[in-house]
Amino acid sequence: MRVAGVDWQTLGGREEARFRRRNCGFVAQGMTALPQATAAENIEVPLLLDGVAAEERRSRVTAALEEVELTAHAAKLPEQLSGGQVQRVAIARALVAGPTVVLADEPTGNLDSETAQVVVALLLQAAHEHQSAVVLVTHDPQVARHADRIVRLRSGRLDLDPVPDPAQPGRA
Amino acid sequence: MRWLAARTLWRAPRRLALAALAVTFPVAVLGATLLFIEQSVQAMTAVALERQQVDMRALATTLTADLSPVARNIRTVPGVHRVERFGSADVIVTSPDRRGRVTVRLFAVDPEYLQSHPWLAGASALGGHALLNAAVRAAPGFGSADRVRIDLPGDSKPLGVSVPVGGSIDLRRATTWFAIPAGEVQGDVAVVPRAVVVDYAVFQRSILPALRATFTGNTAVANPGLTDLPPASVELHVAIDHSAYPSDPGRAAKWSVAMQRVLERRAPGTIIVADNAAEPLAEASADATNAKVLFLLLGIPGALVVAALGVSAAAALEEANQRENALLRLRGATDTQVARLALLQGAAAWLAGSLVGLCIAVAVVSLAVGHPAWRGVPPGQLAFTLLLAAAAGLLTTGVRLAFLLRRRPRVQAEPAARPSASGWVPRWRRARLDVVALAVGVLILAVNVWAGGLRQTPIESATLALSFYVLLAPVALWLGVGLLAVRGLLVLLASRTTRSGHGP
Repeated sequence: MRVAGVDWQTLGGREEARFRRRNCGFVAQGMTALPQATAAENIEVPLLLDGVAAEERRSRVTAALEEVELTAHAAKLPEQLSGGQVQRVAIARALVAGPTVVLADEPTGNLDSETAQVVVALLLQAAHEHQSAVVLVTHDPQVARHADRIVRLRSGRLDLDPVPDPAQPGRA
Repeated sequence: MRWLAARTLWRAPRRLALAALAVTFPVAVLGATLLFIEQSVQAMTAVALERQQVDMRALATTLTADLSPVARNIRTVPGVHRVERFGSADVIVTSPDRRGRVTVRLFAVDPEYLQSHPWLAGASALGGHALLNAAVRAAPGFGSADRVRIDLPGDSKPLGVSVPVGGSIDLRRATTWFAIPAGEVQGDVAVVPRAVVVDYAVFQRSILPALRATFTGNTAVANPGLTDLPPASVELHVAIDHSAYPSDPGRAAKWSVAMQRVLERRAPGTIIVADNAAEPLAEASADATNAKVLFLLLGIPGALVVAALGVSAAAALEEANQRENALLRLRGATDTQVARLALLQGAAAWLAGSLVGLCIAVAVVSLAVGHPAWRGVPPGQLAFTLLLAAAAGLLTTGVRLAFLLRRRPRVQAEPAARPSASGWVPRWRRARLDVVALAVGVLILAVNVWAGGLRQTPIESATLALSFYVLLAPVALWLGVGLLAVRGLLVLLASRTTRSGHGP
């Protein structure tokens, strides 16, 4: 598999870590935030790991919080946030480093349908603004309908939809 | 990674507490064992010197030597408690009716000597008199003798000193008086059944001049090949202040040798100082080494057991740590960064666990010995002991971190089912190994108490010979108590988890 022109399976150690840090964002089902860090600190993690300067970290975290509408909850711990808010923290964290691709594994699995729609819309909108591709795994057809291209896995076999027209705007 | 480590300490103190617990157990057990050993060893000098009758003997190299100024000089040496005159010689004692005539060992001391040495039992008043031991009293003619005549043996001119008999004296415990004072067999006790004790003033005035005339030149104490009591000797018995000896018997033995040299330098050539304390201190030093080995053999398995159990208890953290490491790796943390985080958290746990463990060790030993555990222990030795105990905690932390970092992270979002939540119970808990081990330990002790294995026999005297299997009792008790503590801890954690609905 190639991401941003790089076959990441050939990478190892520090290179792999750096590649993941700069090119991949992850959003997963359930509690993936560090429980002892606040919402803002959780979003800051990829930047800290990448050695980004404090001033730039602060401004990018602030922007990311605004993007997912969590500015008021920046200082709260994950256990003080709702499931939807935690997923928004995960989205902000996934996108704060400006990755090439965001890998989302059942990001709405633990959310009610209304919140799920809000979270997915937010994810796709933010990814679009960051010009990041989103690879999203879901069982929910309501979530899947947001995708430009759907790949179904049925009984171990891939069922590919047609490749969309690149000129068509509005989808990540 | 420092920021995350700091936030973990600040916002998840229970994680630190659980990780510290893995350190506290071995540090407390090893620390208590080592401190108890130190306390026991520190008591051994006093025990070794307790039965010492005369600490040092300053033996005159010639009978013409005047020991009075030497005595005054030695009294000024720091650590010297008392200096007493002593003389001895082989003499012939004759009863007043001349029916009894026996060779005896004559001892001469000042009357105060009898008061300051309780091992001289049944002594009557000595001033100006002679005291006879039971063997002399049993000799023909001495049963009711009120005077004795003292002469020197051999071809010497008859001395004819007549001394009134003041009573009897029991010298069966006065082994020092019958001990060969110098040479290769120093300390060996010569068998001399008959003995008479006279006032040193009488000895000095009436007997010593004749001895000087008979034994000219160096006395036998200057002969390295001496294998029996010298025919005649004058000496000073030096009592050392026992509190001046270092409490560690090894250091006390060295101190005693130094004191011996100091005393000899006070009258070079005039006296030879025999160090009677050297042998018991050397024995105590060897005993201390054996005791250390024995205690460590008993204590180290306990420390290893509780360390393993502590690590097991801290394994409740493993899932949280693995998950955190996986999350960080997913976000691009390198192995080095993850390891640095683990090291920082491990260092904090080691520091906290060591402090608590050492406090527990000090408190337990203080309670056991009835005084502060550090009293009497040299500061350097105390620091070494505490550092060694803390090193056990460091080792435990290292093992725990090695296990934590050895496994590749499982990138998973949902926590796996906890063993307690899934109903899985370790095999040792199912087998009630803690109860079994405690029962075995108690049973071994009970059988030994019942069979009299823990009582001294007359033959063993001050020592106690234990069967090898008795040593299994403390090992089993260690294991049982350690496992029971972990069982209690796990039950406590499980109940808290159930109440809060969250893992640690």
